Order: sequence, then C-alpha cells, then structure tokens
Amino acid sequence: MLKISNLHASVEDTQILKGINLDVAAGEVHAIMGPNGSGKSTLAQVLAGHEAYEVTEGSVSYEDKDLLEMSPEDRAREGLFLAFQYPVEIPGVNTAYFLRTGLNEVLKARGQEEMDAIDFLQLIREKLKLVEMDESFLKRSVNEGFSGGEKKRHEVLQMAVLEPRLAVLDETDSGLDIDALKVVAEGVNQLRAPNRSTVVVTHYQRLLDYIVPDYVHVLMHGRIVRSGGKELALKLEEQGYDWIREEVAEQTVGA
Amino acid sequence: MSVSETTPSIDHYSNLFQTFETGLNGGSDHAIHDVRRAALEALCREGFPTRRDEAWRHTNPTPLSSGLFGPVDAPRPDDGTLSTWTVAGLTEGARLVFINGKFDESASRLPDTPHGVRIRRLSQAIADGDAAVSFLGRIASSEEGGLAALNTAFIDDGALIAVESGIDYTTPVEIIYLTTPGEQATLVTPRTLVVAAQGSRLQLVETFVSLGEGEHLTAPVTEITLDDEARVEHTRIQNDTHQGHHASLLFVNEAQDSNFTSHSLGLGGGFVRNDVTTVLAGERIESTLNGLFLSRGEEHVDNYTSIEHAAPGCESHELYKGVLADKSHGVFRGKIHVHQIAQQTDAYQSNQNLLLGDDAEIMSKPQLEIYADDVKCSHGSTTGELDEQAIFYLRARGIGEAAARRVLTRAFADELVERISHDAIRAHVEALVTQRLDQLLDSGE
Repeated sequence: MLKISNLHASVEDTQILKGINLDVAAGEVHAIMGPNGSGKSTLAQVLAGHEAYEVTEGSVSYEDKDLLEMSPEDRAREGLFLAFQYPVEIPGVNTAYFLRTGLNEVLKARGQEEMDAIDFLQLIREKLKLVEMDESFLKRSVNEGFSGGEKKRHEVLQMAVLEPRLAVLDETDSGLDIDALKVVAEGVNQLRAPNRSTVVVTHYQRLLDYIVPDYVHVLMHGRIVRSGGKELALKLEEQGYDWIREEVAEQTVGA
Repeated sequence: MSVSETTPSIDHYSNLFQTFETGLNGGSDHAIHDVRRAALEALCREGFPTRRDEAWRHTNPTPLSSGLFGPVDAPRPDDGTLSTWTVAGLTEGARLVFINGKFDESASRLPDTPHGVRIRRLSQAIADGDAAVSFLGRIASSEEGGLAALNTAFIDDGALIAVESGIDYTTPVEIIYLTTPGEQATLVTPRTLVVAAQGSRLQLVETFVSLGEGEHLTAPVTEITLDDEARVEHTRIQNDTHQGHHASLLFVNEAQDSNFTSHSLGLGGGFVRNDVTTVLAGERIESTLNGLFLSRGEEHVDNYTSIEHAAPGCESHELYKGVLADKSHGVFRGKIHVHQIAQQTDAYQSNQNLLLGDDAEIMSKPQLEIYADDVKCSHGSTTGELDEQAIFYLRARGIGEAAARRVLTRAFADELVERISHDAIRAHVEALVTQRLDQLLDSGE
C-alpha cells in the first residue's frame, strides 16, 4: 500500500525528516509516536503533498505509484486522506458544498457516478450520526467557529464520506475529551477493512486504547528509531521517551 | 474644489450647452432650465476636480477634465447584448432603457402602476411639470462644479420614480443606461431621481454599461430622497470597456427613521470612479452601503463613499470588497463624518481586498471625522491574497487547484451578493459576478 524509503524533507532549509523508512501493508494500522518536534506532522504533510515541504531525498510509493510525483488533489482522488491537525477555517464556503464537491471529485476519479444533492443528503445524514454531529453543521462555513472537538469530528466525517484507502490521522486526538476521543476512534474503526490502511500520528498513547495499532513506530529527530507492536506504546506511556533517547544516544556514540 | 482652471474642455462644454439649449425648443422656459444654467456657471467657475482635491488624492481626474466628450447618436445594440444586462427574473415591473441618453421604447416596459406610484421618463415629467422634478439638483448640489454640475447642466432625459406616502411598492424598478461610443469621444450624462415619501417602500436596480470600441465618458447622477420611515433598496451595476471613463455620483438624503441600502457592483472599466454620498439628516436612520468591485488588466477603479451623520441615534454599516487581478489598481476611500449633534451614532466600516495578480494594487483609506463624543465608530481594512492553507485543504480533499481558487474567490465575493434581498436581482448579480470572477482567475493563470 505505502512504502516510504529513506525520506528526507526540509522546510525553509531546515532538515526535518532525515531518512524515514516505513512499509504499510493493506489492512494494517500503524501508529507513529514521538515527542514534540520530532517530525511527525511534517511526515503527514509531506504524504498529503504540502508544497511548503521540500523532499530532498528518498521516495514514497503508494499503490505502486510514485506518490511524490502526484498533486495533492490527485493523491486525494487516489484514496489518500489526511486528517489535519489544524483544520483550516474557510469563511463563506458552505460545509455541505465542500463535502459534496470533494466527494464528487473522488467519485469521478474512481469512474463512479457523481452524487446529486438528494443522494448526497441521504449519505451525509448517515455519516453525521457516526460522528454525532448535527445536520446544522452542513449549512455553516467550513470549520468557521467550530470548537476544537467539532473540527476533529468534521475531519473524521470527511474521512467517512470520502472512504479513503489510506488514512493519515495527524494528532486527531489532541485537544479532545474522552467522549469526543471515543467518537473519533469509532469513526476510524468503522472504516477498518482488509483493503484499507491507517497511519495514526499521535503524541499520546491514549488514542491507541481505542484504535488498536498493529505496529508502533517511534519518530525522533526525523528518523524512526524504534518499531514494535502495541506494547511499545504502553511502555512509552509508562516510561516516557527518555529511555529511547538514551539508547539512541548510546548507539550513535557506539557507531 | 480648486480655483478656476480654464481647461479647453470648459469652453467645449459651454459651446455644447449653447447647442443643447437651442435644441430644447421652448423647453428652456421650464424652471429646470435655471438649474441647468446655474450648473453650467458653477462648472465654468469651479472647473473639474483636480488631484489637489482631497477626494481625488488617489485617482488622477485629468482624463475627465481634459477630454472633449460630446453627445453621439449611436446604433442600437442587438437584443442579445441587451438581454445580458436585463434582470432575467424581472418579467413584469417597469424597465426603462436608455441608449446614449435616448429612451429606447422597444427595450423598455412601462406598465400601469398602482395609484401613488409614478415611474416615468424624466423628460416627460419636466414637460408636464411633475411636482417631483423640483427635487432635481437639491440632493446633488452643483455648487462645487465638477461632475455633478456637468451632469445637471445637461439634464434631459432619464428616470423619475416617485412613491407617495405609505405605499409599499415591492415590484423592482429596472433602469438601464447603455453607452455605445461613436467615432468621437462620447459623452453620456444619465440622470435618475427617486422620491420616496413618508413610509413608502421601493426596490430598484440601475445598470450602467458601455459597449463596443471607442472613448467615452459616462457621468451619471442618481438622486434619492427618503422621507420619514421610507425604505429603499438600491442595486447599482456598472460595467465599462477598457477605453471607457465612468464617473458616477449617487446622492442620498435621508429623513428620520428611514432605511436605505445600497449595493454597488463594479465590474470594472478603464477608468472608473463610483461615488456614494449619504446624508443622515434625521434621527434613528439605518443606512447600509455594500460594495463589490472587480478589476482586471490595467483598469483603475476608485470607490469613494461619504456618510454624513448629521443627526443623533443613527446607524451606518459599510462593507466594501475588492477583487483585483492582473495590473489593475483599486481605491477605496470611505469618509464618515459624525457631526457634533450626532450623539449615539453607531458607524461601522470595513474594506477587504483580495489581490489575484502580483502587480495588482489597492489603496484603502478610511477617513473618520468625529465631532460628537458619545459615538461608536469602528473601521477596518484588510488586503491579502488567497489563503494558501485553505487552497491546500481543498486540494487535499480532491478539489483541483484552479477549482479551489475559484471556490475561495467566489466565497469572498458571495458575502456581498447574498446581501441583496430580492431573489431575481441577487441571481442576476450572482451570474454576472461568477462570470467576471472566472475571467479574472483565468487571466491570472
């Protein structure tokens, strides 16, 4: 599904990713954890195609295509979805219009028929229930005046509508209370299927109680320094990141 | 206004006036002719505006004062062209169409109106001594010379709308002034007078469009007077050619408890200046000035608004938005003058501009003069480009880059389109704005 090899990326001449390697097979859930400033969000943005980040080395293949050659819109149309850490407010653009336009672009790319307003309303009502959002959101401007929790639910709503094959969740748990966290996790779990994969980027282990990962990776200083099963997340929760820092430092000295 | 500067054009307009006067054929006996003559004298005395005038600080008015514009008879544009500028959804109300100042009967529609509503040609109203004609030149003063004087000196035909006390006339009145330049630089001076009596209601849309090739000056004056408790919603649509000069004046005078809303849609033109001046002369008035201006190429578009709070307890709301592409230049200048007597004034002004071209420029200048101490006045101005984060967010949902830019640009403009309360007029404006924004965006790609 996704194969990241030796990925280096920088923003404004500051090197942030320094050789990421990661394989995500179909149906798997991978968690990427790490302290602040380790490059987690950069990795998510690079995968979605943000132009502020320059890839200086390495490659990313997605379903055997060169992901880095694709525009952000083509990535989305091909089934890649990024749930933003900071969803953007767009004054004047109606949420229903935004969701339907995006969905129709994705349907078009899949060779499926576009959805008219009536069919769309039926679909969206169902998806709104999933994330426990009120229909009145549809009439509001995209994310404008939404609370932090509402913005995150809206991200999951978009994901539920677009049904991506690869979902990247960038700190979707940050700022959420436990109820909202469960709603978000439920939305993600509903989409779990043998042909879909998820990459969960998070600072805390908490979300992983609800979205149980197959693999956990620790990102530090722009590199994945540890990989393991879900028990690695629990260990990080108990002991923090310092023990890994020390181990990494020893290895570097030893090398 | 500057001290008299005799430019060749002043002599030119004096000569034109003599020809015009001769052509009036006894029409010069009417009282209005004194108003015309006084206007010409003021024009000769005070001249045209110059750059030294505060209100013309950011737009050089020389092209207006130096050009020798004159009346030209022009061929009638085809019906297809006309239909672009008529409001499709208005099928029964009055529609007055003028081409280079001449009434066009076949494109116009003057259905019977209820008692107390007069919608008529200005020339006829002058000829038969309609009482409302006495308002001409009283709302738009010619004393300072300039463009108001030029227009008033040549008052001939145009539109008169008068609604008597308590009449709620909800059918929109449509007035269209077309300018089709001839081989000589063409002058068109449309005049509209609106008299809304106590407690009356009125909805109107005025369209000013120039077509074809050739230099011209369209210098319209619209006067609107609202008596106590009157409500008027006025939509103004302006579109001129790249060779066109358009300098318009909208003067509004409001009495107590009245409510006036202006929607000014400027679609561009080579040299454009649109002025709105409102005087809030009674208490508890609510006045709203909405403006949307779009420009492209090397157009220069200047919006000047002036709100005079001359009585206590009034509210004014003003929102002007500009979308500027290519190398176009825009100006927004918003004056709010709160007189000493005007306590408890609530005035809000906002100007927001979106630059689509790297070489596009906007000069945004609020001008608040507040002489009362118990007032709420605020203003703000922002200018920027499309939000790149928002573009990326849309693209990350599968919406292509060009489409994303379109969505965001339309959303910016929609805020003003949505303020038009009448469905058919709003739909018409929306179609014009959408089409023009697409052109603006395409030219930038």
